[in-house]
Amino acid sequence: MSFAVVAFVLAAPVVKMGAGSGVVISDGLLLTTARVARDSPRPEALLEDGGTLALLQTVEIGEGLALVAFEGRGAPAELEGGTVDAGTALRVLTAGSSWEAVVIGASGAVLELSIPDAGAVEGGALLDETGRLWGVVRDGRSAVTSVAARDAIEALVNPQKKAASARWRNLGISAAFFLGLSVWWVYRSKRRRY
Amino acid sequence: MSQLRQWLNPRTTAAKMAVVFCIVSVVHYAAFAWTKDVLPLVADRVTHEFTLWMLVTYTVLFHKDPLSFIFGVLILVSIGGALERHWGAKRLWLFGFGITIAAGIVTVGLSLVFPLIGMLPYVGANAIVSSMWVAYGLLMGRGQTNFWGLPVTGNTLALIGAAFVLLSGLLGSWLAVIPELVGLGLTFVHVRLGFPQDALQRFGSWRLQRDLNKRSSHLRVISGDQRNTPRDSDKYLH
Repeated sequence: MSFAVVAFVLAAPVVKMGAGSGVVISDGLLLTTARVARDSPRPEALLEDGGTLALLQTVEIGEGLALVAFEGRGAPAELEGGTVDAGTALRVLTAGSSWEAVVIGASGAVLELSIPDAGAVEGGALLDETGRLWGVVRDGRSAVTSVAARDAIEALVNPQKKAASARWRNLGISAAFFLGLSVWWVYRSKRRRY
Repeated sequence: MSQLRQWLNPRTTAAKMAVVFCIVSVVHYAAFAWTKDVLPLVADRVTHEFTLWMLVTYTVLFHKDPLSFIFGVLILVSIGGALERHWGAKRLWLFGFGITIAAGIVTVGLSLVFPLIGMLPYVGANAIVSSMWVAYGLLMGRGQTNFWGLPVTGNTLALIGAAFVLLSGLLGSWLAVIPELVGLGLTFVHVRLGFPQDALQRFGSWRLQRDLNKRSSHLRVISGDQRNTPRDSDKYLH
C-alpha cells in the first residue's frame, strides 16, 4: 500500500458495521447497504481509530441502500455529483482494507464494477485517487452512484419536493391518457359513421 | 342462430368488453409487482398524487378470484348483450364506464371523509357487472325473465343482483364493495332518469310546456253557447 493510500485510509470516512462497512456522509448520518444495516449485530459502528459511533435509527432509501443516524464524531465524505465513465479506475475502501476497482458499465443509479479478489466490500466507499466519493459498494460487482444516493436522501429529507414532482408527472400522464382516450373515442365514432 | 348463441353472442360489444377485461386483469395479476401501483384505484393516490388515470384503468379489472372472472364474463356477455340490443353499443359503453367512473369519483370523495377508504386498492369490472345486472332487471320491471332457468320478474332479478353485492359486503367488508354499492345507487337513479341526453330532452320539453302555459294564461276557454254574445269583442277576428 502506497503512502498516499495509507494516509487516505487514516482519514477515511469509512466505519466498520457488522459484516460490512458504512460511509459517513455528514455529521450524524452514514450510508451503507440495507443488508449490512439490518444484519449488524450491535447498534454501534467502529471507527478506524478504535472509537465507536452509537447507531440510532436506520431508514432504507431504495436501491439496496440504508441511511443510518448515529451519535458521535466521524469524518464525513461529500457525495460527488458527476458521472463516472466505463473504464475509470477507482478504489474501494472498507474499514481496514482497500481494493482496486474498474467501472465496467453504468446504468442509471448503478455502477457495474470489476473488483479483483474482492472480499467483504459491502457498504464500502468507492473513491477516486483524490478521495472523492463516487458511490457506495452494494456487493462485489456493483455500487450505487453518489448522485442516486443523494437524490434518495433528498427525497427522504424533503418528501414534499418529491411529492410535488410526482404530482406534476402524474398530471402529465393523466392528461396524455385522457387525450389518447378522447382521440380514440372520436376516431371510433367517425369510423362507425362512415 | 340458436337461442344459446343469441343469448351468448360473442360478436356483441359486451362480449368484446368481457374479453378486454379478462386480458387486462390477467396481465395485471401476472405482472402485479409492476401494475399494482398503476392500474387499481387508490383514492389517496388520486387526491394526493393526482393519478387521475386510475379512475378509468380500475374499471377493467376483475377481482382476483376465478369465480369473479367466470361469472363476470358470463353476465357481461349475456346480460350486457341483452342491454346492448335494448340500448345500442354506444349507450352500453356510456352506461358501463360512466357508472363505474362516477362510482370511482364518489369513492375518492368518500375517502376524504373516511380515510380508510383512501388506502384500499379497488377494482371496478365487478361494479360494471353488478350495475348491468341490476339495470337489466329494473328495465324489465314486472316483465318475465329467467335467472339461470328459474322464471323470475325483472325486479326480482335486480334484487338478486343487489343481494349479491350486499352479501359480499356483509360477509367480507363493506369497505371493499364501496364502488359496487355506489354503482348500484347510480344505476337505480339512471334507470329512473334515463341517459343524460334523455333527461335534458325531458327538461327542455318541460320548459317549453311551462312557456306555453305562461303564454296562454290570459286566454280563457269559452263554451259553445257563450260564443258571439254582444259582450264579446271581435277585434281579433280576421
